[in-house]
Amino acid sequence: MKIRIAGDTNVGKVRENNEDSLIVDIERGLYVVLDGMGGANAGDIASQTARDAILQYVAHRRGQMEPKALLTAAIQSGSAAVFGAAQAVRERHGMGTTCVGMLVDGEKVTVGHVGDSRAYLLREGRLLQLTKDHTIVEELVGRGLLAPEDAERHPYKNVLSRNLGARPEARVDITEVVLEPGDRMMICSDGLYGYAQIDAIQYVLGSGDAPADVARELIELALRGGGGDNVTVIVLETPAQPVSSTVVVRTNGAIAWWQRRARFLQLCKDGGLTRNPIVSGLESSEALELIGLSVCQAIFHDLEKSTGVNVWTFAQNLAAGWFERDGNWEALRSMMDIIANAARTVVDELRVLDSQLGFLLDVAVSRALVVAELALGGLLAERLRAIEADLITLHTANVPRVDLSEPRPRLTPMPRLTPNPRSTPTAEKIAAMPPITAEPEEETRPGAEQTMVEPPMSEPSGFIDRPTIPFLRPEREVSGSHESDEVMLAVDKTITVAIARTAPKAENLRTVLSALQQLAGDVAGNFAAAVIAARDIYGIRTVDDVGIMPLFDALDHSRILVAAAVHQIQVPLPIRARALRALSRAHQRLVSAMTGLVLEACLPTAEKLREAQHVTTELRDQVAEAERRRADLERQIAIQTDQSLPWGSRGNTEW
Amino acid sequence: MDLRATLDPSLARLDETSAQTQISAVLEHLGNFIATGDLGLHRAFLHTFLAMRAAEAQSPAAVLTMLVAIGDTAAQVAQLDGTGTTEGAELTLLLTRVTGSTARVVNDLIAEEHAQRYREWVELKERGGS
Amino acid sequence: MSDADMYEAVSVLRDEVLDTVEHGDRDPPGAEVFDAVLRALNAGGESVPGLDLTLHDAISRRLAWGDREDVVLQDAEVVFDRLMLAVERAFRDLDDQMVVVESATLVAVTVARVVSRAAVDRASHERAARLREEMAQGKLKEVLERQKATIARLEGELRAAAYRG
Repeated sequence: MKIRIAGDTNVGKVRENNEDSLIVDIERGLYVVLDGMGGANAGDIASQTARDAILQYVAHRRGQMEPKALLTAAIQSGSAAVFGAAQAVRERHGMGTTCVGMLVDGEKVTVGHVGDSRAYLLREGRLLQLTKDHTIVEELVGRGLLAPEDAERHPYKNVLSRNLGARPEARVDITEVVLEPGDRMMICSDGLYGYAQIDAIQYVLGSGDAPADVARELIELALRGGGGDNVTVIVLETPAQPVSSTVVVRTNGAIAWWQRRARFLQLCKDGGLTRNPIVSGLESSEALELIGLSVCQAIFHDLEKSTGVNVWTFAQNLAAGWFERDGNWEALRSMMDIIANAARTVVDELRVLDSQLGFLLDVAVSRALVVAELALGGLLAERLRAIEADLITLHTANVPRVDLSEPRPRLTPMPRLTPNPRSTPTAEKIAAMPPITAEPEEETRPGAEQTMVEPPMSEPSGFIDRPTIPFLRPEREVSGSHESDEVMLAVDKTITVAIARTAPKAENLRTVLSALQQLAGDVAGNFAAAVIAARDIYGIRTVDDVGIMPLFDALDHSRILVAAAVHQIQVPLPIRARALRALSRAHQRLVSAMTGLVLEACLPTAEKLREAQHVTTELRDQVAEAERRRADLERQIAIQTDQSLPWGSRGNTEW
Repeated sequence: MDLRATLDPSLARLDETSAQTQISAVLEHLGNFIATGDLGLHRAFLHTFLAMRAAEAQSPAAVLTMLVAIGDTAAQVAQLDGTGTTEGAELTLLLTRVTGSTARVVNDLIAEEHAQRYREWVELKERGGS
Repeated sequence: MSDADMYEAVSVLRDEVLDTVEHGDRDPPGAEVFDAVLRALNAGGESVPGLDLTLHDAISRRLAWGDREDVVLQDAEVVFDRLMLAVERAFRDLDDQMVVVESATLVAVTVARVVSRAAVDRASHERAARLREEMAQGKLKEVLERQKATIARLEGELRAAAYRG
């Protein structure tokens, strides 16, 4: 069997570098797509390192090993190479790459993959995904730990569970395919299926175009879909042996259809195409050409190539343009009906002249109309998804506030001391800063002073009032011992210096610093004190980023101020070191307590979701039960229906 | 059943029994629809099917693809089984047209759902603005 | 001590801090925290808060695998405590000790931030999921009502047909 293969890659519209790599080695029958990841340009290094290792491995052992073992070992050698390169340079720690590869031996194709790059097989018009993405969510579903319906919207659904480079060895999934005439296979990075619709991929892959053209068209699809990632595809094709009916449609059918284009256009006009709101403002001839002739051509090209890509694209463009103009479904539906009726009349007329050809054309044109509906359905569903997302945003705009405040006096700042800059990196940074006179709201960058934004006060809901947080460990290993008065004095001095660098309005930041001062003297490392301090700082706030993140901005800012201030006080080094340790332990307890409060504030949402899911399950059971009864009655009606009546006039039960 | 992974990725995740149940329900309904030609019952089945799949977090687009693929597969089977016979040819054409009708009803239902959600959205916006 | 020397000196404390005798060398609890301290040391003792993407990724991974947020937080506490003890014992130079302590505090705050953000994201996700459930329930209720009406109609038709027959 003569196989044709081509590959292509593109950086996309958003990324600066192409971190994808590919191998197209016709001599050895090796075809691989790799999608690298990792900061500081490590992604392209990862994918190239794996590519070179895989290619080298196969080059040395092709013919000596079974394809399955060879591909597995080659991909593992790629993982070892990436892992080794990552260990050698610190900036590249954590880099990795996905990999999907095909090893072709005559009609047998061995597919191996790690990560979320995919392999597809198009056989007899249907697209089969050969690989399962190695994401954590997929694996949890596979192990029965997560319901498939929950996987769709899982917050971590894109987190990979496997890649090349995370460890020296990689677990490779292998699939074998025996090619049949007319099969097309494709391997690709997520830059393709993440940005191009799967229907469009199927039709482009199924077009009769050469693999090189298909690869280019697929990349074009991803770019049109946004091109938000690097995109790489390799397409393999075996020659088709079209069945006779397909040949008839491709030749005589397509020609017969095209010869009747004038009749089709006339029928479209008679059906009201030129009066449809979609073409309002256009001359009659323009409207007919723009819509009627375009769809006529699209059907012709699809008949010629036994594909659906042209009609699909036509319907997509028509609907997308109309919806962008805030057009409604009724006009589009009516337009599709005009086109469908005209097409059916043309085919019916042909059936009178040549029943066999007419019948084949009838099936082919009916399929083309189904493809058009599929394209419209995709857009309608996308519109529905968008409006539902907007609705959810509107509903959730009013995030519940949680009140963790207590009627206790705020901690009092200590008197100011003279700064004394020292030499750690933090100290140098802080020393270089200008004195702080005012603080911008919501500033989160270190190096620029920031303040906690006081959350807006409102009626609290979901009041949580517990003396301690259950999961925090009150009996933690305490790393410090009782600190001397000298150390405590150094702590006080440090806090005073830090507070001196805060702006007058930065009340929350000063509260954090005062809390640290108090907690640093808490020898037992008792969490109760940390929790009380955290509650004081937490107050009332919304459980979202806007409400919560300023807390951590203040905690982080206070850390920077303390680290700088401790080097500015005039005390012996051992005392300073002990003071820093005491303050760091205090800091750690405070952030843990604060996080504990956040976790508590988040708890009710999980409970409410579970309740809602329970209600949905009960309703689903009721609907399923009713549906069984309805289907049973439908069956009985079907048996009794008078089959001599024409189809379509046998009944229309109200729904 | 070998084809179920091609019909819809969500369906491919289901266990054999659940996938079989869903495909069988669709095929049985298509058989009944061909006999009754009752568009109201067709709509009833599809509306329920969509609502059930939505409650399982399947997108309407995926449900549409799956329904079309089942209809298309049925038409191809009819074509293969009935090669050379008039009945086979007519059934193939009928199944293809039924698939088109299925796609249209699903699109109508999605559009209705969108219109309803849009009304809710406008109402919420107005309430928020007032 | 240079950054590189500091990195190496803290690296050798790994087994002790992560208690690999008890937990094994492969992914002991809190390994992501210890590694983040090493990265912070490597970056000169400071980094932009919340921008340690590797730490963010590692924590996301743990949460995705089903570890609870409080467990991640507890592991971080343990690592912090053990590191403080180990550093006090192992580092004679007090300036070096202070650099490590600063880095450990930075990581403690970052872990808390990442865990809190994950919890807040989860809460937001759960609120959205509940609304989707309620939307689905609305659809199911509508379908159920229509099903009941259709069933009644079909039963009536069949009864009438049986009567006629």
